[in-house]
Amino acid sequence: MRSDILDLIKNYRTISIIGMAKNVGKTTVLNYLISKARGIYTLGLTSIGRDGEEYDQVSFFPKPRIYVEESTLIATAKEALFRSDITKEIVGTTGIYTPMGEIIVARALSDGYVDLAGPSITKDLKRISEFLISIGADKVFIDGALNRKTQASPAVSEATILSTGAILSPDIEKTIGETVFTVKLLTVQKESDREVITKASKILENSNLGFIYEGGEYKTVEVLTAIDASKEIVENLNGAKYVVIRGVITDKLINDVMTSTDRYKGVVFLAEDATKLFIEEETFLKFQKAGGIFRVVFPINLICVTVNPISPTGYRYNGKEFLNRLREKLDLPVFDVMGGD
Amino acid sequence: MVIDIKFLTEKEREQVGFNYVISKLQVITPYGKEELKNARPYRREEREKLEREYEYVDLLKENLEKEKEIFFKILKPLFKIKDIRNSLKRCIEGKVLDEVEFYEIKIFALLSEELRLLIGRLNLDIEDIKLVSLTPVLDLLDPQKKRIATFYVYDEYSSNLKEIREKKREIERQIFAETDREKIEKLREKRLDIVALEQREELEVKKSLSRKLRKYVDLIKKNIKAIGRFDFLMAKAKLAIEYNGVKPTINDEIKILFEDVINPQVADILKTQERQFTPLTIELKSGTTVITGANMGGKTIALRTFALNLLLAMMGFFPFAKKVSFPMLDFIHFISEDLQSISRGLSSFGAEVMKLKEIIEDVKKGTGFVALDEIARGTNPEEGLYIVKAISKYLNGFSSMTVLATHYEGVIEDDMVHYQVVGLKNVNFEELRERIVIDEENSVKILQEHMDYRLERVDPNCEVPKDALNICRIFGLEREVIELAETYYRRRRGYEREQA
Repeated sequence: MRSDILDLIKNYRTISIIGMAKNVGKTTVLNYLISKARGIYTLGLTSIGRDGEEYDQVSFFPKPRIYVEESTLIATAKEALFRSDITKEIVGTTGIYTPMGEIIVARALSDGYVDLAGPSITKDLKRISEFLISIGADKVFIDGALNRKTQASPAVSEATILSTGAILSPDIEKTIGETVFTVKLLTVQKESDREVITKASKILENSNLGFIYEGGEYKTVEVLTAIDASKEIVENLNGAKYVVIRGVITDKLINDVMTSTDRYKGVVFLAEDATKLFIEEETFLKFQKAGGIFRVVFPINLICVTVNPISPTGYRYNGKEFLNRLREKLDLPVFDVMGGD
Repeated sequence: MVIDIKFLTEKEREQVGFNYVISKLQVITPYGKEELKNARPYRREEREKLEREYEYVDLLKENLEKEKEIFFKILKPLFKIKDIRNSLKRCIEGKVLDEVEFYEIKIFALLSEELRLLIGRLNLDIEDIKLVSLTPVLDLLDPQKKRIATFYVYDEYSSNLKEIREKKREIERQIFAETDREKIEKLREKRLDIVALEQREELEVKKSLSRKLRKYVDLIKKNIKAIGRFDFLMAKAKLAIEYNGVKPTINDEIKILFEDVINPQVADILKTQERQFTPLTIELKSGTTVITGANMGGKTIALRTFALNLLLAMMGFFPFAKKVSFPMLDFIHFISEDLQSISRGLSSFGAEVMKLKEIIEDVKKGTGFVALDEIARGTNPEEGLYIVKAISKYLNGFSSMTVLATHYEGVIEDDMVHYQVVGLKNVNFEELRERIVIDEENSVKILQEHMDYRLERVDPNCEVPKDALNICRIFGLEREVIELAETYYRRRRGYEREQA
């Protein structure tokens, strides 16, 4: 089973790994993939923004670090690069700046620990992935995040791996439920109508909110952010087939819409990508039952889920049970890279 | 850009289309942008420098057209040039540079070599853009002499470093081969000790490299300056090609000659309306030149065009004309209708007076160009006329070249030069009116089509054209109003004849 995960990524050049929460064991998965790729692929590594410090600020668990092989290419902010202990050859500067300095591309001339702090904008992430490939990376791994802080989306990668773990809750049922729902959100359908995608892209270019109507005409509405735009949504819903929303779609927004109108029946709420959906399961189900539809412009290709049955806070699940229960509930391969399954 | 307000204020520069022209400049490198930022009109005593600048732009322009292939090759390294000035500053201050800084300096040296060879092939005899060889810098930052665009703290810098790294690699091999977790942990700890040694030794190397590099900073700076100059000159030359710029002549006679001069901003706007800018020709001598002519005849555009092209020429750009000659100017002043006055709490007339005071002070001290666009229009016509007449007569006595656009009759004296917009002089009004009656929606457009924007030199006594009433007729203003106006015209004519 263990080698299967490498098999799964065989056909993709850019793979992002995103965690359901901190300490779910995402770095372990990344290290596992890196060790499996050793001698097979030249890897390129970067991350979406910066994912915490060496010690988790809240829980003070030492976090595992990423250990790479000689010849690996990394794209990381200058400050993070100098914290890495590989012997480093500078191969490029990017002109992309982060709070930790410009993102620098370096080649590891020795094995060692690296600290990743990549771009936080999708466009930059794409550029950097392409650059890493252009200078010789066979695969690019993107240490991703599933949070509101970064704009950059794992949707730019060709494949995505979701990491879940016992840290979510001491109650295994709750963890399984949350994981299954997250998978459901992440795999929300892509809008297939090309014309709609073209119009939606135009809306997203300049606005936070827009509508596409029955006849195909569309318009944008000026709002500061879509988060508080329920009033504008309700006002423009008449005859709309699509509501196009840039940025996060929150639970509150959907609830506000549902309590103000029932005209959203059969209307598609179109998000940029599934990581922008921050909605509770209950709200999601209520919305769907009432006839509301969620779709995305840029789909995420979720290829598998990895589990970590151990919580660094001191409890653990039965690894086999966790794995098997999730396998039952998901249509995706599920792996425990620590336990060896 | 920080340009003395003696050469138009920021707002006036925007108005005449200067900012537009600057936005069209294709400056590529941060160093070229620095040159642009520091650009200003040349001073009287810098005439030779200015003439040399024209020579350089001309050489570049010629070469751009002849050596297209080389210039195409030059673009690639030019686009890669980055700003390393901060690292150089740190180097001079005795700071220790980091790997990324060494990398950027090495890249600069490599690109600089590439440019040196390419620019060398152009056969340009321009001292300012001669690049020096940065071989010593490259030798320092590329001890393996591979001349590839990467950098690390090479083993070649220190045998000690080389040994440490060998140890590090050895232990990494052991870690990789080991399967026992505890043993791996032990090895990793051991590795960290070696990493600390490596980093300490790398720091020593970086210190020594920074120290050695300090000697070459001046050399690098010379190339920075040369690349910036080349970039800026090339941008000037390209602009001249794009808008048909011409190498101007600086004369000693105090006269300004424009042959077929244009204003790129206005020309580009007209182009989007499928219209063309009518090139203007004029000769201005010391003293006052008056432009009269039809409403909507482009007098304002003409003044802006002169001011723009003079400012550009004074800054070493090629003006956009067939031929340009002008003397060194100490100032360029421009009073135009939308002179900003509200902010100073003045009426537009009040603001004009303030500005006129400034102009007169400058005119007393030096020689420059003054454009006055319908001054005193905001006051009562009788007083307005006297003031304009007084100003033009007064300024006629100075060496500065003043050009004044006005509607007032009787401003021009025999010793002044008089130009007129050809305007609607040769138009058959009946025909024009009929066309507009049929196609009223496009009345303005049709009028513009018939308007002849050229300037022609006329006799000082030549009458100011009375096109206002014609335009009223063409646009179909209430007949009764026009008839009344005609009566007043006739009455005044009769009165004038009586007086005579």
